[in-house]
Amino acid sequence: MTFDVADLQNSAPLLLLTVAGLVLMLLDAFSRSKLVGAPYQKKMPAETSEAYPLPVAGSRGYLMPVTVLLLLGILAVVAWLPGQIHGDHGVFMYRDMLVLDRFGLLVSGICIVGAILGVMTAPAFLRAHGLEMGEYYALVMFSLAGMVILVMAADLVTVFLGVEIMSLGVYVLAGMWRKSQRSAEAAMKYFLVGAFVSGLLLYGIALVYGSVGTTLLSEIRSRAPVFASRPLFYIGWMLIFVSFLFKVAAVPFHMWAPDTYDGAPTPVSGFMMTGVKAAAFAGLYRLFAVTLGDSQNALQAYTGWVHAAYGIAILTMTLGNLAALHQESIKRMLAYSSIAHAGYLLIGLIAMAVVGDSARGPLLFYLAAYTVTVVGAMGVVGWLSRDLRGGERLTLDDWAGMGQRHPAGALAMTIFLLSLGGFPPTAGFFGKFYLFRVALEKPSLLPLVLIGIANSLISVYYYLRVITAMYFRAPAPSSEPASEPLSSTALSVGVLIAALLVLGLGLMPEWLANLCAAAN
Amino acid sequence: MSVDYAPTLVAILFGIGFSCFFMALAVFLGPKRPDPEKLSPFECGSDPIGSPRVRFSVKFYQVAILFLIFDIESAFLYPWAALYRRLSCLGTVSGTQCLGTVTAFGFVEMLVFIGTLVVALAYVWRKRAIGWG
Amino acid sequence: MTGIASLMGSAATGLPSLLAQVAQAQRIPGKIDPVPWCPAWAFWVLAALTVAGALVTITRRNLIGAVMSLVATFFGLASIYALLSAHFLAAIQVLVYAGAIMVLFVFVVMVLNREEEEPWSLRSPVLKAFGTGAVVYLLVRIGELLFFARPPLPQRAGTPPPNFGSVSEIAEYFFTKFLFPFEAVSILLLIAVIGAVVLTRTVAKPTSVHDLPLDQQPKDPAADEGDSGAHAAGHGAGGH
Repeated sequence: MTFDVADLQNSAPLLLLTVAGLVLMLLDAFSRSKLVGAPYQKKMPAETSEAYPLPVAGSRGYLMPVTVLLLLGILAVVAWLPGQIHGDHGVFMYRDMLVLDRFGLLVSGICIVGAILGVMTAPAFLRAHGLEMGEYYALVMFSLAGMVILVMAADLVTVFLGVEIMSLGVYVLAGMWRKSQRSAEAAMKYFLVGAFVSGLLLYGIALVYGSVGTTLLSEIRSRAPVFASRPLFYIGWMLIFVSFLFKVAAVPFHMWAPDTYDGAPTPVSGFMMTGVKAAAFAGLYRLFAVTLGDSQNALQAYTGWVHAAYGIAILTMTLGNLAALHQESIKRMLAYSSIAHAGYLLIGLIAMAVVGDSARGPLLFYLAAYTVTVVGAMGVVGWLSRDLRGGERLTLDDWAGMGQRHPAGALAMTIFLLSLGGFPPTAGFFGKFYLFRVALEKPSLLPLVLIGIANSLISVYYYLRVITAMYFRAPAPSSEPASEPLSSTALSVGVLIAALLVLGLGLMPEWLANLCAAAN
Repeated sequence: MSVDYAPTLVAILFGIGFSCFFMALAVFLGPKRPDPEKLSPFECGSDPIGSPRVRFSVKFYQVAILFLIFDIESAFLYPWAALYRRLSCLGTVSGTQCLGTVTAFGFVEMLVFIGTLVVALAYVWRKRAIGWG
Repeated sequence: MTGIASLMGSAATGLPSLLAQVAQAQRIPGKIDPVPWCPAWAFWVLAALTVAGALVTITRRNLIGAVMSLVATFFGLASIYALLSAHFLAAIQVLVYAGAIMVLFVFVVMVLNREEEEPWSLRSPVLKAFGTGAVVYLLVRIGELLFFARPPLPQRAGTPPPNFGSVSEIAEYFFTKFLFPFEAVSILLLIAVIGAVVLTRTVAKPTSVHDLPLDQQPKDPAADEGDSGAHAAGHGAGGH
């Protein structure tokens, strides 16, 4: 009954996230004064266009800076840990339950950066809509802990726990907007689908364990050649595959995504579209590209998941983009765009299996670029869409003329949309460029890349539609009150940092690309 | 092993038999003289108003969930208690004696688990989720 | 349909012979756990209890009745776990499922307080055909299993070691090999606590036009009538 103390150091990001979550929870619980927005909760909205006053700043405003500082500290630890890894293989921890390697640390870092930017943009939005609560910060921390467990998992049991911890926190976050029926719907759909998916995942794990007799990923990898043709093994892995496709919202497992991303509070939607997706892709990478990958025999990765992923990637890109084409709501358009991006990311996953380890860098770069861009875009959506009565103005008509009304926000939004569409010089351009370039190394992926490029061209239409509305359309005369952008330093700074990162990665992509390529 | 369940089986059978016995007793021995007045629903001498099923406050549900969570927590204590001696002993265990170094390993691992949930309890207490009104 | 009828008929004659087979297997020493007072029919009784409970659960109109018969199912399952030497799991099944989770179910029924109504039924003929097909398929597969499967019953892998499934055996896994997942479960429970508090925190009213239901009314007196508890809690909600 001994315990390796070095494990504590190697799993420091995870432990620190948990402790930080506990601290934030206690800070929230033991803060004396009343929460902000409480007096407004009982007021009915004015039926006229009379202004609905912004709730005053509350006593829990300090939680946001504290959270950001804690996350920055943890990010520093994540940046320091790679130096502790000696050799090419990761360090196994807690009796092979977790593995510390550069890949896991990089994805953890991506999730944490996304969370930092999201947390900076959140409080202004939450306060403006009268739902500021201290639990938000603790839940973000715990969800992040779940993501870190998932990306560091070396055993199917920890994979399941990581998925559960990550998702449970996000279910609560999605439903925290108690006054909004759409938020309740979002949380309910996400939770029901999530519970169903947990069942699939657990069932798949049970079948794999039943056939192989172990849950250790490294063991399964070494036994995969023998077991690949056994029905239980195959069915088990397919169930696991489907459950992860649900989590990343790939077509046809995406039905929940538009309503959930659209209905949840905007900063939470940003967190779901980025952190959850990045961690789930890391899980897919570990489970499928690594455990079931076969470097000798490209398309013959065990259980043939690559063939399924091939079709799903095409479906996801195409349907996501086609559905996004005629969305009037910007938030919903971004939700469908997030589905389409899952398709591009699947190309990276397939390339991991087909092309080999050289595809890891592009996949990670894409995840990083996508995360920074979407968190920024959702930050701007939360920033600019609030109206005087506390509602959200999300349609293109509402955003017409935003370039004149709020030049800074409109400019940031333009940068993010261009990055999502893959225009140079933004991070999104290099994400797609690296991804498609590495996929082109194998002719069997050529159709996939061509479809990906065609889809990028389609997506340009709906991203540019928002930009033209913001700059070249006069606001439509409407009886509804116009949106009244929030004024918050933290929000502006968060969006500014995200925009600078998007542009910086677009102008100097090499350092991150090198970092990603080295993240074995 | 299965013989350990004999008391459980006896208790279940006894419970079923006991309740059936008294219900049967009431059916066979009780006088039955129904009339319309007796069969009508009764509420403090007046006709009942509305459905007897009032809608419960969501508070009950909250308390039930919290009970469930702490119930699961306590369920994890049983196996820990069963293994505690072996967990905190670096040598072999003979009877209740540890032949070797005694460590705090078993104690600390449960302390971490319980400590996390004590934070939950503090949170629940401060948020007045287990209070009423 | 005649095919199914004949299948059902043969099932009726086949079941006793199958039971006889099981009883036969029981008497061969070493094949099945030699527990003198716990014969194979105990499994069939418990399985019948479990399935009957589940059937009653999905056919009751009275929700409370349905929930109560689910308790019977849980007890049947727990006993089957015990027969399989999963003693800890059996205890947890009773403690957590038959105990705590059923309380939760009852509260959900009472919080929602739905009128008793006909169970949801399939209306579309396509779905009906689909459902019928699924039932026929299930019956065919069960018949296949009962009469044509070779070998008819899987053989026992041998008697488990004496401590198998005991609480300390489970604990061995929890606290050594799977120590990390065990500790991580505490985070899961913690999030569940926060979720329970955040999501059941009562909110007075919607505050933005955007969020109001379409047929919104400022106040529905009928709904508030039996809702005094929730209402009172609503006043408390602003306080923290």
